[in-house]
Amino acid sequence: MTMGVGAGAVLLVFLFLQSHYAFNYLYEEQFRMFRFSADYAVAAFSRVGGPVEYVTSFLVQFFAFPYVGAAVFAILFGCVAGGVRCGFLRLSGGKEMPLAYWLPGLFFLWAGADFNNHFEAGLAFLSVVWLFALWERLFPRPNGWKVAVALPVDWGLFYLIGPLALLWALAVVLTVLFRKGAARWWSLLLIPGALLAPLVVYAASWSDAPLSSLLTAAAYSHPMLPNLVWVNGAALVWLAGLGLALLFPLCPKGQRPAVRYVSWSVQTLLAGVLFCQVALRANNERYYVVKVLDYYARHGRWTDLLSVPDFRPSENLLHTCYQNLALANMGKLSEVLLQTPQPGAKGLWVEWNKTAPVSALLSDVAYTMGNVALAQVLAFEGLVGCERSENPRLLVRLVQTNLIQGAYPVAEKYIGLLRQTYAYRQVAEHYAAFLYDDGRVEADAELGPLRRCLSKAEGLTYVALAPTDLLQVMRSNPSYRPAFEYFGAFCLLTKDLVSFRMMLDEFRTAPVLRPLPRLYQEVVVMLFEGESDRWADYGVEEETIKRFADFRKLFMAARRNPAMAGSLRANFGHTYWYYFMHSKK
Amino acid sequence: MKNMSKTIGGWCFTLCLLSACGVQEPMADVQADVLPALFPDYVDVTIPANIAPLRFRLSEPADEARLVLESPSGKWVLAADGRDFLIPQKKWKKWLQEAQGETIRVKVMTCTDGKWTAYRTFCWYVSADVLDPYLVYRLVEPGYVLWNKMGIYQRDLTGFDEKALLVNTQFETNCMNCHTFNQRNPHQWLFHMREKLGGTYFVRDGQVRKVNGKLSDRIQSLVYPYWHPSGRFVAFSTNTTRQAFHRSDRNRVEVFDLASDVLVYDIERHEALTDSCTASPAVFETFPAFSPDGSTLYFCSADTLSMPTAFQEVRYSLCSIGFDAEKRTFVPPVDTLYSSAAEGGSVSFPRVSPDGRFLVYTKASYGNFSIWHEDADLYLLDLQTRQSHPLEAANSDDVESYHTWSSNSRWMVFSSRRMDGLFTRPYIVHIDSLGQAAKPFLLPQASPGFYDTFRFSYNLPELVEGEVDMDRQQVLEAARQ
Repeated sequence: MTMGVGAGAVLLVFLFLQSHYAFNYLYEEQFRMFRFSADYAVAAFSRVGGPVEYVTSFLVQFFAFPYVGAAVFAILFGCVAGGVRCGFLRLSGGKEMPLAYWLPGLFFLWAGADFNNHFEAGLAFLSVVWLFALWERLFPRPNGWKVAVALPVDWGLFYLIGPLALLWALAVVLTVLFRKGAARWWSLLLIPGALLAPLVVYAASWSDAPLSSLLTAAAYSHPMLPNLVWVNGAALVWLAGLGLALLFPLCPKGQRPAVRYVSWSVQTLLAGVLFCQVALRANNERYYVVKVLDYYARHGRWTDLLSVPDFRPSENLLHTCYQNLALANMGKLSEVLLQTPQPGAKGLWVEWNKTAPVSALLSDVAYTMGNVALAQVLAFEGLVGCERSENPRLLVRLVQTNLIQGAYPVAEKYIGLLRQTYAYRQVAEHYAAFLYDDGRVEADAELGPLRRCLSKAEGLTYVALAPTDLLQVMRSNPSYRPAFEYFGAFCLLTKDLVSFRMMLDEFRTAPVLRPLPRLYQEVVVMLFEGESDRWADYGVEEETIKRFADFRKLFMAARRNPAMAGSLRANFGHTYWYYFMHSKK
Repeated sequence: MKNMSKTIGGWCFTLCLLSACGVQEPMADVQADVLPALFPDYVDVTIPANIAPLRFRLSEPADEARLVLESPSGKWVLAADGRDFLIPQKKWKKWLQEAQGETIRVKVMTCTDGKWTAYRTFCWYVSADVLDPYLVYRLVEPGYVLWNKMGIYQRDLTGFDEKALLVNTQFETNCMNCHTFNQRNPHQWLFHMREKLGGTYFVRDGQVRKVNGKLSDRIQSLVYPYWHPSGRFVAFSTNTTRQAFHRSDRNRVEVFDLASDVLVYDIERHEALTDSCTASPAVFETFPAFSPDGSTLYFCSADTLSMPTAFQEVRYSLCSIGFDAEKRTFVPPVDTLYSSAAEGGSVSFPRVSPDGRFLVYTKASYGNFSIWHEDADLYLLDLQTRQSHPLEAANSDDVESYHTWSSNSRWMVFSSRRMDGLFTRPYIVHIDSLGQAAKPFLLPQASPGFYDTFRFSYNLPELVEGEVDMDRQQVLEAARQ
């Protein structure tokens, strides 16, 4: 029965996680870069906690594939529950308490929504509970050997998993203390003994970590934003469960099968309800949506991006930026600019807050704009800004930009790193073909146009100058449509018609402006109102002229009769004429 | 059972015999009159007798490979591990000591499809001049605005051991930089910390003292340091620095000063000594460096220009001014040793050899933050003849920048980006008594493939005469004062 319940629970957990947490795992994958190389392994295994990091990174690399993240976490949960149960039963004399099995693992499921949480915590905890279960099996009696051997085992565990080894020592002490035996009070020495390992490591400078990361659950969390709730919660709940298990043998009556069945069902249901309730609250909706947007942007799934539930480009500048990135990549930005929510120019280029996610987004936008320099700068800043300075997705951007710039040795170095990964080696091989081959770069549909965007670029720039840089991109490569789309959008949203007109005049014959987008035609008509003979020169079509006449009629009518304002908006709300008159900059 | 024992015994005896004989030099089927392609490039380099093994890798794969080393003391044949020649440390040390002042002839042989090819022999010239045994540097990602993990590390140059002196993960992930030793003395040095726990930390004979860099309204931070040999003074520049990015230039990044001055800080009195000659608002003064006897302060100087607009026009000259340590004063006038106006280019990082004979500087076409300038090269000024020449053998097509002298004035370690144009690596070069450089060699590592995946730059390499013993706890205590 228990196997069946366990498997069923794992399956249900998987379905829930896949439904509500899938993008947490897909997002997390980019912040690690497991490499199949000796130097990577040696580096991992030569530091405290390195082995569990190695295994975690190995697993996380597969989160790039759908369903894997949820599956791994569900299985982890099941294994934790199994390990807790094994240990529990050895102490309780066979009496069951399913809630005690389910609860500790739930904390690590919830932690999956916490971006600053390290997944190592779950694996480390898994090791602790199973080692404890094994320990109880090997040493059922609390004797001196059990205590004496526990110390070096704890030190070994500390090397393997980090400070959660102390939890194991605490559990051993708890169980030995509770039972009568010669080693009872000697077991207390395990605590200072277990603390000795991190203190020695710190004092001898065998680790770069701060002392708090060697002694506490801070090791399993972002060093700047430690959140100890998940690990400490799981630890406390597990220890409490062990305490209860130790009390169970004092209860003389066994459990009848029917009672067992009901008990299992009720406790499992309770755990399930608790899991769902907390999981939904722990999964911050605001951050989750950004993770979804980020995923689709990474993979160029622009239509999916624009259809994301809870997508709020009218209220959230980050969302607007993603929206406009999608539209620019689809070649539709100038076409539908005013048919989509546009809070202003900041929705085209959000302020850089130096975080890794925003750096990655702005790198994507800069890359789309044809601003290779800033795309590279932001990719690099994003890479450095990641907790472990690892991000294969941004490394790919660095490969791209270095190839475009002809910095082949650097590109080669990055390609070499990506080749050692599983999920990115194909991308690496694709770009490796361009190394030291200018002709191939220039002929490539992706890299070629971007290299041409550099031909007349000069001078210095800053992140904030991205809009200004567009002019140089356009002059370098008048065929590069996204640069025009972004430039046009900046001008129109800020009502900078002087710059807009300059673009029209300078690039009048550029293929990207033929045919002139409808929105731009509206601007021309507005700029040269009263000079209709000039409209055709800029490519204004008859239909636009007719619409403008209709707009004027309705506009004049609305001025006389304010009740017509609604009609004006309904009919012409998506035109630039309306925008120019009614919106603030 | 008896037969099996005999067979096993026989095999064991054979194996012992083979191992006692060592690796043999095979007969070459082909003599290739070309040098082998190897990384790092250790062909015809001059090395000190106390350097770690020059482990290298063949660039092309082969079924087998041999390395044959010949010196007056004998021949040593090694087999490759894959493509790597992992020269063992113990025997190498002994060999090198015996070969001091001599030449080691190096032959590489490879076997492909059963045929052995012997490549053209090259040399390792083992100098009689010893190199200081430790190199201290900062490891940092070659970044722009943000940083992550960084630290100051010490490398034992006689082997491969690297020890962390300070790592920012233990100091609230702050920025630490500008570690500078007094005449390579491991017991007297300083470094800055920025952002959290910010200040300048003086380490003297085991004691750590933190100084707030804001010495006055005008002096808001201390930047590039250089110790006076007495240990009482440190010359600093104060710089207001900005950074921008090139839109398409290969230099990628441009770092420039909006303002800078040079001062001398009196450690005992906690006072800044300034002079209009080194702290003029009309001039950018920076990169101070004392002469070994402390009587002269060298620095770089450029007329102020509107920045960043004129970033490509700012050019630094090399100047000097006297310094009287007793009176705690500068001794004008300012002497111009290299005039950028007359001779072109822009000077940075002047460093005088400990014997006072030479001054090495970095020269680029403009500006002062030469690590981002591809055309930056090393130049040597003979202080007796006042003649400058480029260190051609040491320079490359890419950046050569920060440099440090050994205590016997015969070696330098300098920073170069010749490998890939982005990651800074330390190179070691011999400078003879005439100021001529030999071919430099890359700092050897335990694995020849180390630099392929290493994503940190070696920043400010400083040679040190002995092991630095850093008590991190003392720094933490000083930091929290």
